[in-house]
Amino acid sequence: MNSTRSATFALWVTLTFLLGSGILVMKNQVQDLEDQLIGINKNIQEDIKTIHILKAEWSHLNSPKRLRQLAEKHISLNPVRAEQIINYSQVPFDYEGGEADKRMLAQRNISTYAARNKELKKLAKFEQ
Amino acid sequence: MWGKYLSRGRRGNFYLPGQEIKINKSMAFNILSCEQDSLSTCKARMLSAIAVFAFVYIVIAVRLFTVCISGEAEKAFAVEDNPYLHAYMPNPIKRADILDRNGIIIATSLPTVNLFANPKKILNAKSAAVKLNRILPELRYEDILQKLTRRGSFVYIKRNLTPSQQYQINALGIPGLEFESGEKRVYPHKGLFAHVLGNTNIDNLGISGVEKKLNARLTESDIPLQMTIDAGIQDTIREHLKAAVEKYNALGATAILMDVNTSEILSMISLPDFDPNDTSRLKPQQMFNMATKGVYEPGSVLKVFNTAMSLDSGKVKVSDKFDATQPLKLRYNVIKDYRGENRWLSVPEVLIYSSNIGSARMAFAAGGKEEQMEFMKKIGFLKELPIEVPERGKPLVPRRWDEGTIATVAFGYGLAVTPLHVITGFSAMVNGGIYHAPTLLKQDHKDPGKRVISYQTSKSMRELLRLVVVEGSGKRANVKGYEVAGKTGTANKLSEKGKYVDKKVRTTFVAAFPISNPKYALLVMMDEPKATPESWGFVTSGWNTVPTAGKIIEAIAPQLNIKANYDLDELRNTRIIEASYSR
Repeated sequence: MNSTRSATFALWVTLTFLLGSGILVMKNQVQDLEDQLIGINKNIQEDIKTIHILKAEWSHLNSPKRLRQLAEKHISLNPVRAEQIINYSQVPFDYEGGEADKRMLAQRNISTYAARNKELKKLAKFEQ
Repeated sequence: MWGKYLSRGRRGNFYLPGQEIKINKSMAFNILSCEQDSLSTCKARMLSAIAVFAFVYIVIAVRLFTVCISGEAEKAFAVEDNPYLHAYMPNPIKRADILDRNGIIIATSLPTVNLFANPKKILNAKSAAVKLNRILPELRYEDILQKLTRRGSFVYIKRNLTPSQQYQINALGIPGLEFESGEKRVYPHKGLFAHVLGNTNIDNLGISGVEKKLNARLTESDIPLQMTIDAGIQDTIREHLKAAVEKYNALGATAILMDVNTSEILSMISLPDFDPNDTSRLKPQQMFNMATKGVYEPGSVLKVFNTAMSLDSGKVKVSDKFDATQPLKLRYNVIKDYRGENRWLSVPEVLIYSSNIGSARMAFAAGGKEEQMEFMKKIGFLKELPIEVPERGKPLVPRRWDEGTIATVAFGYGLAVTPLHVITGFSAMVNGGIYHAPTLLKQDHKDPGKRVISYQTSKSMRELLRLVVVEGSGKRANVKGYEVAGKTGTANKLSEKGKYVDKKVRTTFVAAFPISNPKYALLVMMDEPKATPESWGFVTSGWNTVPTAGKIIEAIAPQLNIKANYDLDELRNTRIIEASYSR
């Protein structure tokens, strides 16, 4: 009887001690984690601010006015004009026929590139 | 039960003289003392222990109850108040950015630090002011001193310190000087979007432009706001417009580029403008947004709408001719032509030669007051436009709409609208006849719009407008390959006395391109352009806004990814002819 009672008592004491120390360890860990979280959050906030500033600077450096000035200074390119862009059909067809073909093309009086290409393609096919 | 322990009567102890009183006073001592029989002492001690514990438990129970029931729990169990102790942190930048249609930042807020003082805590105001003035030389010593000696516990010394200034002030270690984190609105492109974006005050609240109109949206969410403006195109147009203002010595100018199929505004410029980063010295002209606030009589540009109305009514056909041999005499006024043809003109000729007489006769042929008013109402010319800036002009509608008004409105006087009204209406005339409300905000859901003229009418309007550029006053804007179509307008300005002044004009050119399948509409307006040697002394639209618009279209069309459509061989031939002439 007495031994049972003291065993129970010992069990309770051990449990209490274990629980207490467990809670203490947990509390310390939570505190560490909280400190970490605070540090990380502070860094994140600082980074967000820095990114924001960098973005603004990037936008400022990329302003069309500045880019135009830089382009004028460093590369000798002019704005694109409409006549510099042509259709695929207007690209001369790479086929050199014989004298007879040239004469034939001249006779037909072909004015546009597209029509001329069409004729040249026909001749190329015919030769094959 | 208690009487047994508390009654003094049963005590038969012997007291020394005076002792009796003492013992009576410290009753507890008596109860807990071992002098009595041990059982009752034990009971007494236990009871008092029970009482103490019971009291503690009751306190705990009551506290637990109040905490649980009264919802005080959060407060009671709150961890220490550290602003960084949260799983999710809000954005430190409160006001949302504004982006252009390609995602380029055009307005943003930067984190800054404000310096404020608590004058009550400042020990030696004079030395503090001297030290501060050394770090902040742009402030006056007297001002700082006056602020530091002011009554109260809060006064701003300077906003938006630089990091080095903050460090130096912090290093001074003056008690009473404190920092507060704030933010400052910054416009990285300076004056490029001045009138569209507007600006903010020192408290970072919008005071004009989109910043004011959408202040609530910008402050309640940190998600960037995307606009329809294109930064690259805005810059190109602004450069050309600025050059034109200098060349023709104009008082001001405005240009708007609009997507005709959605009425999205790709570019909106009003000159003179300002740098919203530095608004300390601004003139009222710089703050005025001509494009949305300015209400002007558009002049001959209104003939476009008059012609569309007449053709759409079905009472006028393109082949119909109108008598422009002599001035049209009405009850109160006589309508004349500027450099008139003095013959019968067909509908295309009325537009090409911009005949006032022809337009007036066309309006009379199409119907009366009701038809004209109804049409102007349909294309939004009688109301304010729902654009996302607070600076909006209300059209000046004639109070009396009689015969004379019908005639003058037909050729562009009497009804004053903003340039934005003109280009929005013009878009509807060329896009197939659908009117969309203009917008500056990029939205996913497209406004279905409303039909104002038939598709057929819109198609004939395209052809007529193309003729104006090929043969009429718009020749100098005929950019090869981009099929420009448009209409010029020159309106005499009203003097202060309310009379029209001859030499002071407001010229407008409104164009759409490529007209075979219109994508964009451009409006260029100049206020009081002067004659140059190049323009042979003319100040009409064809000599200033038209060549400017031509240059703008030539520069922006490749940027807008418009396929050039023209005959290369024809161009080569004309080049050869030109070359042979010049030889």
